[in-house]
Amino acid sequence: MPTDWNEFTASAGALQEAGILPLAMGQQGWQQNIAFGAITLAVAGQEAWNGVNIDKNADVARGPEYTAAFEAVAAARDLAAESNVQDWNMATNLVITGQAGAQIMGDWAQGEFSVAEQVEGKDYSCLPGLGLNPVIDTGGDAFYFPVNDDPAITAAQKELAALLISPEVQVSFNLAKGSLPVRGDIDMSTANGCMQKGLEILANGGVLPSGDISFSQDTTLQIEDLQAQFWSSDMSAADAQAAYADIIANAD
Amino acid sequence: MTVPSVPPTLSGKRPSKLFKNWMAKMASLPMILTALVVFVGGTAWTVTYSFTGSRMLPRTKWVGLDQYERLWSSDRWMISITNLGIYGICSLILTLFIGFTLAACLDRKIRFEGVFRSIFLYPFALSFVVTGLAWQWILNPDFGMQSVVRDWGWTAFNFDPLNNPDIVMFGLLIAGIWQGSGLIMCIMLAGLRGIDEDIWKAAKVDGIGTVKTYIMVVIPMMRPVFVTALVLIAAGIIKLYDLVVAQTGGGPGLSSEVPAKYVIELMFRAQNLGQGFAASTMMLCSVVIILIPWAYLEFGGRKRG
Repeated sequence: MPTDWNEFTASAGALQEAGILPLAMGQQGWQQNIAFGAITLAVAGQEAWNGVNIDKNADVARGPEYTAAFEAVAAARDLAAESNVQDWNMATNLVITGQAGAQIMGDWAQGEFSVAEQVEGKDYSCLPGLGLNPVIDTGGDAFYFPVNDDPAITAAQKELAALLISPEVQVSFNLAKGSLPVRGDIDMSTANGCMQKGLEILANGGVLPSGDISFSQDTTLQIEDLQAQFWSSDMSAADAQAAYADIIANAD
Repeated sequence: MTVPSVPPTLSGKRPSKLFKNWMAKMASLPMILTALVVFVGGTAWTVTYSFTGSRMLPRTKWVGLDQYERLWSSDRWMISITNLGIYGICSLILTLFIGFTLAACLDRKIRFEGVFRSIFLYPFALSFVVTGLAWQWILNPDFGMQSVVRDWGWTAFNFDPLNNPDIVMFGLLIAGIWQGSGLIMCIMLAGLRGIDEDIWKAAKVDGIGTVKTYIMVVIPMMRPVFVTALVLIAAGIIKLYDLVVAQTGGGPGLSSEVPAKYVIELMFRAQNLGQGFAASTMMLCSVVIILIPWAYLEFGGRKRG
């Protein structure tokens, strides 16, 4: 199993000769954006990434680190060229059934692996930060409880909220889904290897602000559209970088 | 001596025209209000707010034509309207052609006409979401039509429109026409039934062939039916959205995007109401551009004639 992205791209030729698709990718903008983010973080490095995503500096987006990143993404596009599925879980399925070598996706994909009864470490494994830059982008779902006058309902709401973040529920939910718990004081020793890697990164403070926090939904959609176009056509890395820099320049 | 149209009242004045037929007018009041408030009012509000910088919620921050500038420089919008143009023209021509041909065949006094009519009309009972999903499965290369034909022996058979950015709109077209031509067939059939039997006999006596009779004599007589069919098909084309979402999700990449999908996604996913309003105003403009010359031809001509 390759230890980082560079080793993976080097071994891709052998995978293709064996008739295996190196990289599985669903043809939807948000998935391609996740891959773009992961490759950029790994290849362009943390500082350049911060410059673009936090400071929204278009000059960094036009700079050499991002040129290297876009070319790596163009290479990934070639590796995923035969991947003709649409949804993310169809792409995960390609990896589960052995038709594809890898997928760049969030840790919720582990849920698919566990439903297919595959074991981490034996049937599959993972490389946080593509092995080059171990950081995690955090995001999650939120539950909203509307304020109301009935005390019985309010008590029930509080009970549900307490249950959701209770240690027992956090452990069992995250073990089933493959994600990381929202509280740091629980025993995740039964978690598999991938989750342990993630927990270690969390504990070391390797956390990035999520795309939802950095960019407005409008900017995110524009970036996803650009990724959708870039991945499904033979747009050059230079053109994509120029378009990306324009979006960053107008980002809010 | 002419019959007086209005009964003379005792005072010699005619009753006000406003209260003539007042019960019918009362009954149509809710629809008039709906039309004014919802359709006209809502449209006017949307067009007005397309000139503002509204993001997630409407705001009265005036930005002039900025939203339109962004719209027309957006690749995704240009792809959307090109796709709608291709889909629209093909759908219009093919649906009318298929609908009329099926109706003409059914009108030939064949046996089991009712059965055939039901079979052809059944797809119309399905929603676009179901149609889109079903055709996505049929056109899937791994377990749909391509793999079935390959299993029958033609291993070189390739039919995968939904994964080919250049012809994905034709995959959508297949589903759309399959769903819509049943209704057009029924409307055409009703129109054909309205053609007097004597016309057919006269054409036979004159020795005009069947196909020529249809093209030269019957179709011109069915002009109002064709106009109705045109309006129905055009309405379906402009609001093309759920079929795209169900069948291709706008993919691969952005190659099957359509304007209605652009409006919805910009309004709710990108939380940029102003852009969505600008796009829907452009859709309204395109409908008006087609409607006004047609209305002039239809209604303006009579005043002159």
